[in-house]
Amino acid sequence: MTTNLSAKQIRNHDKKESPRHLKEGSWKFDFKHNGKLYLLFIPVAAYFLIFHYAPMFGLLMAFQKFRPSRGIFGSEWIWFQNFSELFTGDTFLKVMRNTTAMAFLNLTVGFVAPVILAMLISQLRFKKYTRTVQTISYMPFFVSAVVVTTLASEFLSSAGALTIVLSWFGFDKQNWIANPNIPVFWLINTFIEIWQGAGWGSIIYIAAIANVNKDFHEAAAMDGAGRWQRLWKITFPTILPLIIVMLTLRIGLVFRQGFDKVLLLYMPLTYDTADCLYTYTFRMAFGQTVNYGVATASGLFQSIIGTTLLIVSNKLSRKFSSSTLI
Amino acid sequence: MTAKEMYILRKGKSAHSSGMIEDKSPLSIIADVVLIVILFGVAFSSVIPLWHVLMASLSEGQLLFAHSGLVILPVGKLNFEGFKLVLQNNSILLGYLNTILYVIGNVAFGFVLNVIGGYVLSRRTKLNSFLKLFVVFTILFTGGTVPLYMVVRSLGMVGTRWSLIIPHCTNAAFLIMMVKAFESVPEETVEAARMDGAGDLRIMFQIMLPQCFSFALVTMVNTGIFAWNAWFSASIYVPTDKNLWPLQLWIRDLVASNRDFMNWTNPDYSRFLVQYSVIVLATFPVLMMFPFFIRQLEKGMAQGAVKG
Repeated sequence: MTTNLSAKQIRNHDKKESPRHLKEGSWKFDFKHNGKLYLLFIPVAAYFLIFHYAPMFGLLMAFQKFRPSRGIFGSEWIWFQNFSELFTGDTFLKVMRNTTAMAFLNLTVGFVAPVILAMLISQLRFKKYTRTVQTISYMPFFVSAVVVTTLASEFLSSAGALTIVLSWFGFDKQNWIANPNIPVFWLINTFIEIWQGAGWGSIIYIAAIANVNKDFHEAAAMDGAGRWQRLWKITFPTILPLIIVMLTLRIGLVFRQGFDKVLLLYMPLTYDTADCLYTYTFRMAFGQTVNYGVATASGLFQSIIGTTLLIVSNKLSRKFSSSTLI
Repeated sequence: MTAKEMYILRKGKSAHSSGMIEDKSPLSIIADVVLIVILFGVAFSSVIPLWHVLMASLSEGQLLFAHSGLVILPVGKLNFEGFKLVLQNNSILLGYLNTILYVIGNVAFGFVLNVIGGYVLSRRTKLNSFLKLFVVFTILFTGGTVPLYMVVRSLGMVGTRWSLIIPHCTNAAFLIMMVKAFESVPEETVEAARMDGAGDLRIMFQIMLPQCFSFALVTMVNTGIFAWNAWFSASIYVPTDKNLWPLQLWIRDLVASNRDFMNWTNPDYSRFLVQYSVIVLATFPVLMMFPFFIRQLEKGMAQGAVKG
C-alpha cells in the first residue's frame, strides 16, 4: 500500500515538471519536446520523398501514353493498353522465361556455393592459410560490373583461357558469349555471380560456424565421431536455420538484383536467351525505339513480382526463425 | 568432471590450445590435403583473372593481341606504355577525377543523411514508428528505373554531376543500420550530455557518433565502393557528356570500341594496352583499400544480413 502511494507521488511529481496544460503522450507535448528532431529529419524525409516516393507516384506513367514534354499531368491516359502491349508482345514470354531461369539458377546454384565454401574453409585447421584464402576470395566482390563482364567476355572469347579449358572437355572453341543456345548464357551469368559472390557470401556462414560451441565437437570426437560425421551431424544442423533465413531473404531479392551484368553482356545475337525484364525495360526506355509507357509497365510488373516475393519470403522467414528482412 | 576436463586430462593438454580437435589419422591428413588443394583452387580462380589483367597491361600491344589464353607473365618485353598513354589522356584522367568526385559526394551526402536519420529514428518520439515505416517501405516497393529517371530529369539534374551524387547516396538499409547503431549507444551518456546543455547536433555528432562509428564506417565504405563501381546511372543520366563520365563508362567505351579492332585498316595496338591499364587503375585502388576495412566490413555483413 505504501509503495503504491509513493509510486503515485513520484508520478505526480514528474508531471509537475512537464510543461503546464500538456499531458505527457499528447501530440502537443510531443511536438514541443521533439519538434527540433522532426525539423532535423526534414532533409532525410525530403530525400526519401523525392527519390523513392515520387518515382512510386511516377508509376502512373504505366497507364499513360507518356510524353516527357507533357509530364505526368498532361499525358493521355490509356489505362491498360501498355500492359496488353507488354503481355502480348512476342518477346514477353521469352523475357519471362529468361528472367525466371536466371533467377532460379542464382537462387539454387548461386546460393549453395557460398555455403559449401564456408563449410570447406571451416573444416581446415590451418588458420593462417584459411584466413588468407578467405581474404583472397573476397576480392572479386570489389570488382565492378563493367570490369567483371569485360573479363568474362575475354576469358570466354574464342581465344580465351576458359574456352581453352572447355576445349579440353570436348567443347568446340567458340565465342561463348555470342552463343545463342539455351543454357549457355544462363550458365555464364550464374558462373559470374558465383565467381563474384561466393567468397563474400560465405562470411556470414563462416561466422556462424565459428560460433558453434566447441564442446559439442569435443564430446562428439570423444565418442569417436570423425570429421565428416561431425560436419554433417553438428556443424550443418547448427547453421541450418541461418541457411533457411538467408534462402528466404534471397528469394525476396532474386527478381531485383544482379541483372545489370546481363545488360553489359548481352547482344542482339543472344537476345533470345539473355533478354530479361530488366534489360527489356531498359531498351524500351533508353533504346532506339522509346516507349516510356511500356517501359514503366514492364518495370512495374517486375516491381510487383519482387514485392510479392519479398512479402512471401519474409513470412516464410518469420515462420522458420525470428530473423526477418523487414 | 565435465567432458571437457576429461578430454583435457586424457590428451594431457588443453584442447583449446589449437582451437580445434587434434586428429592425426591418415584419413584425416588426406582430407586436409584435399581441402588445402580445393581452397588453393578457390583462391587461384579468384585472383587469376585480376592477375591476367595486370600482366596484360604490362605487355607489348601487338604480341598481346596475337596471344591466346592466360597472360601469366607480361607478353613480350615488360613495359609501361599503356599506363603512360593513360596518363597522357586527359579525358580518362578527367574520368578518374569524376569518379573520385562522385565517391566523395555520395559518401558525404550519404553520411549526413544516415547520421541525421539514424539519430532521429533512434529517439523515442511519437512519430517514431510511422517514420520508420516511411523509410522501410522503400525497401518493399520501388518505383523503378524509368520513373526515377523522370524525377531526376524534372529536377533538372540530368546532364549534371548532381544526378550521379544525390539519387543513390543512401538507402533504407543503411539508414536502418544507423538507427540500430544509435540505439546501441548507452542512454546515460546522452542524458549526461543533455544535462550539460548539449543540443541535438552536438549530441549526435560529438557524443553518440564516436561511440558507434564502426557502423557509420560500414555504410560509408559500402557507399564508396558502390559509387566507385557504378556505371548504370551515368549511362542514363550523362550518356553523351563525356566530360562527366566516370571511369567505368570509359572502360565500357574503350572495350566496346576495341571489339571492332580487327576491322581497322591500320590498327593501333596500344589502344588494347590502354584498355587494360584503365581496368587496372579502376580496380586496384579498391582492392588495395579493402583489406584495411575488412574487419568492419565482415562485421557489417554479418549484422546487416541477419538483422537488417
